[in-house]
Order: sequence, then C-alpha cells, then structure tokens
Amino acid sequence: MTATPKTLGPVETSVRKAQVTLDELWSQTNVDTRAYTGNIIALTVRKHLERVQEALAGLEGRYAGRQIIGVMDGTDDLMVHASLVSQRRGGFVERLTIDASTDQLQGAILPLLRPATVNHVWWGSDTKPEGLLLRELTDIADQVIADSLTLDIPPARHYALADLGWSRSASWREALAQVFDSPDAARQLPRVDHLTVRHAGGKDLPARLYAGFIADTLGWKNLKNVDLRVARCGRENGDLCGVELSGEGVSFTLAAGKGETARVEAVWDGKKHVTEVNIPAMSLAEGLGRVMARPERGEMFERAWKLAKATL
Amino acid sequence: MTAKRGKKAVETDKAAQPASRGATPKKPVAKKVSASTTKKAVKEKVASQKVGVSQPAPSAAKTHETPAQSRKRTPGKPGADGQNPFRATMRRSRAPEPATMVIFGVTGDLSRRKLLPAIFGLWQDGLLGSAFNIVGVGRQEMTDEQFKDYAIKALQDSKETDAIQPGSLEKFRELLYYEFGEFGEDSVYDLVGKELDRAQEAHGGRKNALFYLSTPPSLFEPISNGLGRLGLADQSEGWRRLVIEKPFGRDLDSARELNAAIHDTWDESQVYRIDHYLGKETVQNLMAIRFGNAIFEPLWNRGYVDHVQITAAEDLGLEGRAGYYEEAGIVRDMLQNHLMQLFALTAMEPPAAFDAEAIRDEKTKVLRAVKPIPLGRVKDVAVRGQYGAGSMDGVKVPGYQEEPGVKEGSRTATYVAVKLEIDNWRWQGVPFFLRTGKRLPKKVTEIAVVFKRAPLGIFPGGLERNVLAFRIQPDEGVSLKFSSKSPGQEMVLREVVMDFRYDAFGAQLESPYSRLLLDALIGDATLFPREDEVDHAWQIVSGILEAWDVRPGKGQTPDFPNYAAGTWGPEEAEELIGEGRRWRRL
Repeated sequence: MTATPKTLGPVETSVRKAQVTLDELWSQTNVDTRAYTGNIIALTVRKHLERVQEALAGLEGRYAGRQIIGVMDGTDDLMVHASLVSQRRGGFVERLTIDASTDQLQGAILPLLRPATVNHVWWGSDTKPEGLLLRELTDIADQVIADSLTLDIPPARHYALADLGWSRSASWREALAQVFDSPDAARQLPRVDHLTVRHAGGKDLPARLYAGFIADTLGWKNLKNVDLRVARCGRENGDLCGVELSGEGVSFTLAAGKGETARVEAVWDGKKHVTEVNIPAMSLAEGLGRVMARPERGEMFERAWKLAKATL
Repeated sequence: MTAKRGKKAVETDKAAQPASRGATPKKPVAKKVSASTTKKAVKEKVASQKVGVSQPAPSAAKTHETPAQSRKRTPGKPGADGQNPFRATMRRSRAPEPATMVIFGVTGDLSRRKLLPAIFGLWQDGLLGSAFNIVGVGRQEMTDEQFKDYAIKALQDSKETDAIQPGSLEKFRELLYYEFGEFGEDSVYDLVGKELDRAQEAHGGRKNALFYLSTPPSLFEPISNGLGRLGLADQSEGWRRLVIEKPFGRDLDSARELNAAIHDTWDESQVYRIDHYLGKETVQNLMAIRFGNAIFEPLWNRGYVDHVQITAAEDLGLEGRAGYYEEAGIVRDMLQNHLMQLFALTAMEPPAAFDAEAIRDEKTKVLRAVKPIPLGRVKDVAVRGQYGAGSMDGVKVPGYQEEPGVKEGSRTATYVAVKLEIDNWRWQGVPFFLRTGKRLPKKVTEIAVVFKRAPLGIFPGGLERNVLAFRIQPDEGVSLKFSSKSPGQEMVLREVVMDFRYDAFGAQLESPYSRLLLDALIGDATLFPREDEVDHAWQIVSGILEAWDVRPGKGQTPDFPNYAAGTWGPEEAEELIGEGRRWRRL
C-alpha cells in the first residue's frame, strides 16, 4: 500500500457527463482495479454540508465506493461536481456533489447510482423529510440512516432503518454486555428492577434509545422504571456518561472515566467487583461506517425505538 | 421518576441516589474440598517433590467439560440461566468470559513480536472483556514491574502493534503480571494457581484460564504435566484451555507420543493447536468463496478441474534460525502443517455447518483420502531442493550451506514440491501440486484452481485454461483468468484477468494471531487443527521424511545445492508437474 494520494477534483460536470468525468479522473491515478462496494446518498442542506463532507471523507471505501451528496437547498440551476477522494490507506472513492432543488435532485440522483450494489440513504439534515425525493430514495434504499426519533422516521419493512445516535452508543452497549459475560453476573439480572442512564448535554434521545435497549433485553414492557439524568463527564453532547442497573441487593454501575474508559462497579451477594472497560467515542464517520458495514434489519433497535418513542 | 414525557424525566446528577441499594455485605464462604481430593493432591505433590522433575499429570477429567454455550433465549427471566441476554443481541455475539491468559515462555521471540501485540490490539479494541489479565511465565527472574517494562517495550518495538491510543499502554500495563521458575518443578505452577485466585478475587467470576505454550516443543510435555499435577487443567472452577504452537512432533511417532502425553492431562476439547495460516483473513475467505457462493461449487470437481497448485514461496533465507531449520527442514516447517491445511480447505467437502467439528471432520476426511506415499512412491511424487548462492533483488546472497550455523555438507531440504492424489469421487484423477521453498524469487502464497480446457476450439489459436486463484499473501485477493475477444476485425482471443483485491475494502487486515487468540478465549476451535488432522498430515509426509532423513553416508544423496537463490526451484519440479502443465509464474 502506498502513501495517501491527493484527492482529485472537484471538477464541474453534469448528470449526463458525470461518469465520463469520473473515468477521466480515474485515468489520472495508477489504480487498475475499482471495487464497487455500494452507493451512499447523503441528503443535506448547505449549512451542514461541511460536516457531511467531513464525515464522508472519513468513511472508508469498503462501505461505499460512490458517494452522492445532494444539497437540497440549491436552486433550479443544477450543479454537479465530481471528485475522487483519497483514502487514508490508499485508493479512492468517487464523490458526486449535486446542488439543486429537491425536485431536481430526484431526477439527478437516480441515474448516478452505480447499479446492482447496496444503496445507503443518509438523511443528514434536521429538516423533516417529505415529498417525492424521500419516497423515491427509500424505494431504492437498502438502508436509511437518520436521526429517527427527531425526524420521526419509523422502521419500515422494505428498508433497514439505522440511527446514528444508536450506532454511536454501540460501545456502551458492548461495555454493558461485557459486564454480564460472566455467568455469575448474568444470574443477578432477574433482581434488577431500576435503571438510570446518564447522558452528556441536553439531547437525551440516544440515552432514551439506550434505555429502551436495556429495558427490552430485560423483558420490561415500558420505561417507567427508568431515570434519564443529565451529567458532565467530558464526553460530547448526545454521548452517554453512565448507566446503573439496580435492584434488591444488586447494582451494576458503569461510569465514564478519564479518556475512553469507564469504571465498572458490580455489587451482588454483598461483594463488590471493580473493573474497567474501554468505551471508545465514535466519530460521525465511524458511526456511519458501523451502520453501513452490515445494513441489516435491526430488530433490537426497532424494539428499543418503540419503547423510546412511547415516552415522547 | 419515570422517563415519560421527555424533559420531566431529566434531572441533574446532583439528585442522583447512591449507586447500590440494600446491598448487604456477607462474609465470603469457604470452598468445600472433599477429603479424597485433598489426599490425592497431597499424594501427587509428595511424589513430585521426591523426584524433583516433571511428573505425569493426573488423567484428563472429561466430566468437567464446559457445556457448549448457546445464545438461544430460553424461557424465564433473562439472565436466570447464567446466559448473557445482552450478548445475545450484540453484533459481536461471541465474547470471552473474564479470563486470565498465562503465557509460558513470555520472554521469547514469538511472544515479543506476535503474541503481546496481538493481545494488546484485541484489548485496545475492547474485545477482551472487562476482566482480563495476562500472566507471563518464564525461567528468567523478573519482578512484575520489570516484566511490565519489558512488555511495554516489546509493544513499542514490534511492527505488529496497532496504532497506540493515548493512555492505552499505561492501562494495559496494569493487566500484566509475571511469575518465574523451573518448568519441571511444581512451585511455578503453584504461583500460577495463586494468580488465578487473585484474578477471581479482584474481578469475580470464575477462574477461567488460557495457557499458551510459547516455548520450545521439548517443554510442551513438562508444562502440560505440571499444570495437570497442580489441578490447573481441572475445569470445575472455570474453563481451562491449552494452546500449543507447531511443530506438533517431529514425525508421526513423536506427534502421537506428544498427543498421548497431552491427553493424559487434557481432553481434546481443551487443546488448541495453533497454525497461524488458518488465522489469515484470506485463508478464511477461501471457505467464504467456496461455500458462500453457488457458482463455484458445481465446478469444484474432477469434471472441470484439471489440477490445483498450492504455492508458499519465501524470499528469505535462514534469518539466523539455522539451529531450528537444520533439524526441521522444509517438510516439517511448512509442508506438514501450513500447506496441508491449505490443501485440506481447498479439497474438502462442504461442511454441514460453520463450526469446529463439522469443518474439522471434513478436513480430516479429505486428508484420509490422500493416496498414501510409501517409501517406494516418494521419487515419483516428491522433489526436494536446497538453494545455492544466487542473487535476490540484485543483491548476491549466500547458499544454504554458507549460512551461519549450517553443518558442512548439510542435506536439509529448503524446497519441496509434492503431488498429492485424492482417492474420492470428487477428486479422482485430479492432482494437487504443493510447493514451498526458501530463497525463491518472491514472497507469495497462493492457491490456484486450474480448470480443464474447453472441449473444442472453434476460434483460431489454442485454448487456454481458466484459473481461479486465491492470493493468500501479499496483494490478498481472488482472480479469475478467462479468454476474451481482442478488439479488432479478427476473432482473436486473449487471456484476461478479473481481479478482486482485498485492499478494495480499505481496511487493514488483522493479525492472524489476534483472530486465533480471540477464538481460543471464546472456545471456538474451528480454526485450530484437531488431533486426527495433525496425525493424518504426518501420515502423508511420513514416507517422504523416511526417504529423505537418511543418515550421513547412507541412502541416496541428493546433489545439493540444486537451485540457485532467486530462482523458482530445481528443474525436477518441472518434470513433477508433467507434460501439458506448468507451474504458475507468480
């Protein structure tokens, strides 16, 4: 593998000429083989464009060899730019950025999709999706990635719904699972009857989903025995700071510590067990990569979503 | 306070209640030990003290085998059965229970360069659970602190270490402990036992332990016995597993003796024999391609395949390992283990499931079906070689016999090519050619399935064979060679290659050791050769070893050296592959 090459482009082009422009850019590289691993269509607005571009730049080609960014608050004067974005470990991914109105985007995006691969649609905007564009895109999508509780996009049968807040709390779910990999600890779970989830910042939706996940796993029908609390732990807003499962004679507490670790304190049979787990924070690109790695129907997510949604 | 209606549920942390409620401390309960167990332990201890050297271990206790874990949800309250309900919903559905990894020979080269970096990578990725410790064991006297310094330096120096996150080394350091002593005496195993007690005291859970023998093979038996004598193979207080590195014996007899000695203490289900080739992503991809796609399997037989070539070429020479290599030679170093595993994975029948027993059963079946190579057949199906002086990448390099530490007039083979024939319905009449050697032009490992020519040529020019090639290293990937029309007015066909490269995934390939260590900690033996596989692999090469391991002055003397460093091996290998075929130019 060679050193990271330079990004080629952006070059102004049109919908019809986009493929030719990309081929011309490819001819400037020394790459013989292109692997089409999928399309990601990121829909956003101008104010979030930079953040979306940054997240997609950190996304490896293994997830999507072609990135199509649709900027929805453009004018009817449709603009297309093509580039080959260099990858950290060598190679390139294709990027097409389309600046247009939502009506025009629909007609522009569909012909630009690489055929016969996986399609991921990422709603990277805080405006509520509506209209023909979303309908068309969800029709061809294998996966829709969105802030599902805010945007109120329910899980549907024909695509897998992924939530970045949910994805980015994966390391907290894994950390909690690690606590109960010990059969002795797992046997205490029937005694747990209360849950507290602590989160950084005012946005509690990821914490709500996390609580839904724990409650559903424990067989609870609702979140009435759940407390959500704001905490300060040095983590990004929206991230979690800790969780406590408790009941008569038992408690399991994970509390964010320094860096990317959390202290685990488990108490049962009058004995305290203290360990530490790694809970790496996940960047937006890593969160995207995680959900795109396996665009599957997340039944656990859907059950957690229903419990969380019922509390809003 | 409930979470209903969002903001009402939100409070500041100041109002939070203490973490534990109603926890009543209890006195720890002493573990009951039966009188007969104590008597037996004392008797064995006294016996070992009398002699002062390693003693046979008590027989393997097969009744304590940990039941296979099922992730299936069972009725009743989640967790009541000891199964982790959270794990069942995780993407990573397999995770190790809290455990201690005990590395014997921790100051050795393998441990420093490969094992410690692999363990660190797994730990840093959060794959080793919340309660994991490493106990290094060696003969060298060292304090815990000195060992911690040693291990951290090894991680900083090794090329295999993942990018180190800030603060990670300091945290990892806290997991490390060290014990030292003679491996033939009981005291060192007693100390290891105390380390397991300490880990249980600190973290709770059971005393699970993975014992990794990163030692010379001569120490496998004494360590296995020592662990057995002190009851450390007993699984009543937690699972216990033993990992051993190749070579698993030096011939069929010694391999059987070693297996018998290990089975005196350990049940086969507790034994994990590492062949790091099986941990490579691309070796596993061979199974993925074969059994995850419908298009290849119909062609994977005598009807369509002309022959198969398996190549493992090394460009390096001895690299200071003359002592080992003079004893082992290429057959023991590469053919009996790595190449035989690649062969078995290529030729085996589809397994009933992707699990340890199903896959190992199929590998064993195909190894059993290999036509035996008794002494009399060796000259017809095997070629050996030894490199002489030559040139590699424009630099002159010495021949094998000029390498430091090699005996004068050494007859150790550094190259072997062998033709295997399989007596079963799928492969009858399809030869498998395996070759491996040192100081070949480049480092490359590949499996190439060479298909038969089309039955009739209707286009001008000859017909070429299609080849499906799995590149194990480097440039990991899969390619398919076929003929296509060349642009122009004439109907001229030309060979083209459709190439899939693993780097298209844009992801770094994990170290094979990290995959295998994690599997051993989880208890998944799929990628570890079973006793009978190893036995059959030895049976296949026994005739070759017998023919070639003649004592000086006796038997046929090969005309060594018979290939120059930097070439593809001796001329005889071309004759072996036969007319109408040729070794792939890699």
